[in-house]
Amino acid sequence: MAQISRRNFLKLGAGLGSLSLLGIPSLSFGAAAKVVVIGGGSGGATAARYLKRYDPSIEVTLIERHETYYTCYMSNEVLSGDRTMEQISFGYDGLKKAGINVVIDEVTKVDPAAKKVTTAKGEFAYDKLIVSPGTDLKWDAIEGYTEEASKDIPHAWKAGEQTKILRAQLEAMTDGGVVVITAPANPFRCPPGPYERASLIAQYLKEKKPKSKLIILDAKPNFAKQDLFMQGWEKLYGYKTDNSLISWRGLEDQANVTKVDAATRTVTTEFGDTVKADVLNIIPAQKAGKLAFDIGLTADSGWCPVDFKTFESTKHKDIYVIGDACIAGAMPKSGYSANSQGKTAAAAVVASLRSIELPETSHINTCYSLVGKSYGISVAGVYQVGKTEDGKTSIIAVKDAGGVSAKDGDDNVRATEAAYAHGWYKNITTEMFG
Amino acid sequence: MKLIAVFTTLASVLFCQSITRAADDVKITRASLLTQPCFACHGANGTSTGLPIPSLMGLSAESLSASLLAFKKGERPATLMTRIAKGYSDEDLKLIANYIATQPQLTN
Repeated sequence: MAQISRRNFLKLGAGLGSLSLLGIPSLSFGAAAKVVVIGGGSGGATAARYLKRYDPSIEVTLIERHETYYTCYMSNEVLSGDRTMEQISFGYDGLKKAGINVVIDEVTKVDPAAKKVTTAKGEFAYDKLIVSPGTDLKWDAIEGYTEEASKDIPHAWKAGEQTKILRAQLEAMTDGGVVVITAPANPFRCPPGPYERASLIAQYLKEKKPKSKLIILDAKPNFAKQDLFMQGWEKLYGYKTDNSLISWRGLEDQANVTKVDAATRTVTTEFGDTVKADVLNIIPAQKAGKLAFDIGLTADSGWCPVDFKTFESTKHKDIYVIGDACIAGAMPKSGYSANSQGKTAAAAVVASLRSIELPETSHINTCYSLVGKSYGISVAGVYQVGKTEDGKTSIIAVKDAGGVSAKDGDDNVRATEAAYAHGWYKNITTEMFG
Repeated sequence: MKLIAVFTTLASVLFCQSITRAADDVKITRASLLTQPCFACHGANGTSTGLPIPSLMGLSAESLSASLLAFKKGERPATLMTRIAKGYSDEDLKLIANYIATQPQLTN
């Protein structure tokens, strides 16, 4: 009897009939809870896996549009030629092996009242729904930058086809060309990402097309890990010299781009300068993925408000929002944050299904950036629910913890951090996708 | 008699249920929640295949606890862990160490 399996136990339970009449309401014999996860990126894949980890009896369905997921993180190494597209691509076989029902399909409707997800091919009832819709680009943010224009002027802020276009353009550019990257105002996916991209494109140009230049036009007065990036640029790309490969102009110079002429790849800044590019990479402002708007999960800011402890939407009960789309206080929009939130949301769902209280917890975010070959820098934080300076409950960074890598680290430190960046990538993707 | 038999069976079933659950679920505790973000860097259940990030799997609670506390106090140098460990109380670091030390090997 002590070796009874869950399956036999469930059969036994069914055989015993209506035991709930005898006052055992918490056990629902044979009726597994149904949890649907929409979105198979860093948040969704992690949540699906951790639901199974915390309760293997839950019926977990992961619905994702694409058969292959390309991580946005490390896609800058595709641009520099250090990594292939295949090396940033992941399928869902590992999640299937973990007992997750993976459905490759487009969600057409979510009905929060009926607790039902409809896709092109079917319907899925849920007890709890976790949504990890990622970001969408604000096509109206910069005049002239439309979805159509992005086929020739890539944003490459969702990895995949867009990454290939940008890489192909860099390869086709003649030596002496000008690459322009425009970076958006906060908040957006992967705050250090545009500067890692600039760094790794500069690395490629230095090796293959050394007469070329790269210009960053920024809608911000400063940016993530700025001192560390600039220190790396000085060391590797002649930054602050007359012959610098990279130049950066921010909000103080009114360098935020307001207009794009797609036909000539020319941008106009707020100051009125025009810059003509040979390769133009526009990283526009962002908002929660379309699905979040369709379900009614967004606030006026374009992002999704959630309970800071459980990630349950404050707009719809039994729907949890994780990843870039949610408002997670001080946590940056990163793959690591999404992973950490996915784990917590999964635990919160299981706790709620069992009617137990979710213990207080904390989150971690670590973002490595590569400035060049064997040159890595990082920023990290530990986060927990607490009060902000103005007394509001939010997710706040634990004081005195986290921060950026020590400045003036020697070559050995930078090489170690670059190696850790690659190690992290291997481990986080293996944890999520198997 | 029949009713007693049903109750006896029920009691056994409930007892077995708790055993089964302990064997194949990960319990939701403060320790499991605090530790889960660590695995994004150190690999699923602390088994790192992304070298040079070290595996935590197989290390003793004493050794993990000593390392984490040393990172926190700045007595053990590191590029990153000194920044992370400062985010936790000594008690939480010990909870994390104990939790990692009792992780089963993942089969994936």
